[in-house]
Amino acid sequence: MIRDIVAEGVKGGWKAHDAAQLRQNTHVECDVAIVGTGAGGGTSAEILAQAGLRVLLIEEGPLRSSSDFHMLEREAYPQLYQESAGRRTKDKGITILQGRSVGGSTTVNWTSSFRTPPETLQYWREHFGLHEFGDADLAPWFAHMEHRLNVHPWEQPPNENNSLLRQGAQKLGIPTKIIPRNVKGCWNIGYCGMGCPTNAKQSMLVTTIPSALEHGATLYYRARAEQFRFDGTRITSLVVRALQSDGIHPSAHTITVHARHYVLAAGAIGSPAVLLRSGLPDPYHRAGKRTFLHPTVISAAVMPQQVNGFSGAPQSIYSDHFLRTQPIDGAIGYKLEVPPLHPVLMSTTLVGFGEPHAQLMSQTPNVQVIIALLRDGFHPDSEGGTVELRSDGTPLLDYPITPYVWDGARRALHTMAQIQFAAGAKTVLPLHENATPYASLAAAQRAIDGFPMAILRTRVASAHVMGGCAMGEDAKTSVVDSFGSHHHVANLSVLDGSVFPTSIGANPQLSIFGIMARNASRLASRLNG
Amino acid sequence: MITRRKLLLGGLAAAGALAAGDAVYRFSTDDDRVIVAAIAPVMIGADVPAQDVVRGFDVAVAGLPLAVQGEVHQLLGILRFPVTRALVAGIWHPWQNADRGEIAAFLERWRYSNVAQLRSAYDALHQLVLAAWYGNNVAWTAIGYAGPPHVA
Repeated sequence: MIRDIVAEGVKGGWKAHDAAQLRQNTHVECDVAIVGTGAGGGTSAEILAQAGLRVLLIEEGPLRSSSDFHMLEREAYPQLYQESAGRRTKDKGITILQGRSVGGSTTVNWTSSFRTPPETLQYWREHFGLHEFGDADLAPWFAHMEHRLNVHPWEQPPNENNSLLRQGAQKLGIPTKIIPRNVKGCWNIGYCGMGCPTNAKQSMLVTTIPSALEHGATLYYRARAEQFRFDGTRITSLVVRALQSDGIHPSAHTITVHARHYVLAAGAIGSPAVLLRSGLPDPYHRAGKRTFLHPTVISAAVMPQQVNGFSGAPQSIYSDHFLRTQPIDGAIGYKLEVPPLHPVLMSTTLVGFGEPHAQLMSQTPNVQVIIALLRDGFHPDSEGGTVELRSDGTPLLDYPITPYVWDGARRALHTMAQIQFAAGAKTVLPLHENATPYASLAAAQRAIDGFPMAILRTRVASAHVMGGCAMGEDAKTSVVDSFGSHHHVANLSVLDGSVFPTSIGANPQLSIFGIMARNASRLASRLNG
Repeated sequence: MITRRKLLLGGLAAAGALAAGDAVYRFSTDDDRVIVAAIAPVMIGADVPAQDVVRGFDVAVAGLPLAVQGEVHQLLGILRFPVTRALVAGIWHPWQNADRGEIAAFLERWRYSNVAQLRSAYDALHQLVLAAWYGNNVAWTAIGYAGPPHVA
């Protein structure tokens, strides 16, 4: 019997409220109101609540926990993801996987936990005035959160999908490493993306948020932060719209929040959107600019043996080789990993339809997939995207893919095909609408060289949304300072992945945990000072 | 080889099942469901129980933000009105009577269109129909997926 620690906590008297149940407008007073419960909001909530501050957490998605996690894509995607795991950029060119429930993306991510790479921090110091972001400065914060969330290099053997990345790379002399994961007593079943049914994943849902609630914090879920009210110097209140129990339609009721301090941690699309809806001062139009995605291209292979990519820890092997073959501000580099392969994610991601698609799906157990995550934001031709508002106020990310990024995408498709053939693939299908399964590397290479690189021809996905509220010392080029304090609004901080001035160049969760632990600790002492 | 007669019967059976089913649909209209039922076997590449796909499609769309639901409505509208169905999609028969070759040609045209909006409309159908089918347990045997393990 697996304990559902969230259900137990709610039963035991946590102040966790479903806003869909509100029958009238309500007011809440607190010291700190945090919008969002993901990596940034969860980390901040624990630190602020432990410092004795009265914390309110606001989450747009539902509260779901281990006994709700049935490992079914048809349930998990609508319940736990933004836009049913089908969020798209404005031109529909990129599919974005982003969480939307208590715990945010940490509830559904694949547990890969990397410290911010030294070369990324160096770039930040040199270009954004983030002088206190030395490796040694941040190391204690990363160590603290690694300890808090039990981050360790994965100790069990990688599943075959990961193992084939390693084998193929090895044959080509490309080094790979083992991925550190935030799990405790992991069952190695492979369903991290649908919510961990065993509570092994040390997501915010089972760590910092329960801790904050134990310390008296209040949580409202199915509650969407609409806008701040601003008196010219300070935020005076936050208007929160309750959603109906379907999580889609707004309800008639609002929650008005009065706090000493407000924290935005709604993610790199949500946080800029709240700023834009609120019309807060933004003299240099920085809110929502330079949003990054690690645009990701994909290559599928059919192996002679069973791979069973739906089973086992989804990500345990990676290679940073192609992040290091050129300078960080040179041609775009990419990180290599593999994704889990469950039927919905796989069938919708594979290109083509009809008989060829069915044929590939029928070989599901033998399919191996590699992904290449392009490191965007370090070059003048990689300015990322812009968060806009639709007429109904919901956010939309406009992310044009530049020729600079497409160049990397093409190189990455080459690399992945090489690795897959080296690992023994019978056929390789680079995910491009013009592709067919190729039986030889030469045929794949010829085809990849000829692909028109354009949206909705090349499959591009993202699970890492970063930036849009950049931190920096210069208010002309950033939204918040190096501790996340808003440049123009005294009682507002941004504590999530939106503060990164570039992409991270690695799965971002540990960067968010560590840097937000630093910034939330500073905020706690400021508010208690 | 799928004959036109077989398709017609399949189409009728699907329409009958749709009418007879007591499912509660949150998003789609009867007309929408006929379109999805016609596209489903061509997109999926197999004879599939139309009602399962249609229901999955409805659930999937109902879980999208209202703005995106509006876009899907628009797309289904284009496919529904005879003039746009013929001129934009190139489907000259009502969906119940359209043969699979005609539907495949339509999907292929949108898939490779030079107009990005048509490619994105194809991609929306691709995503919704395939998710509706492969999210369903009944689809898993054919692809060698045993479903999630038992955890307790």
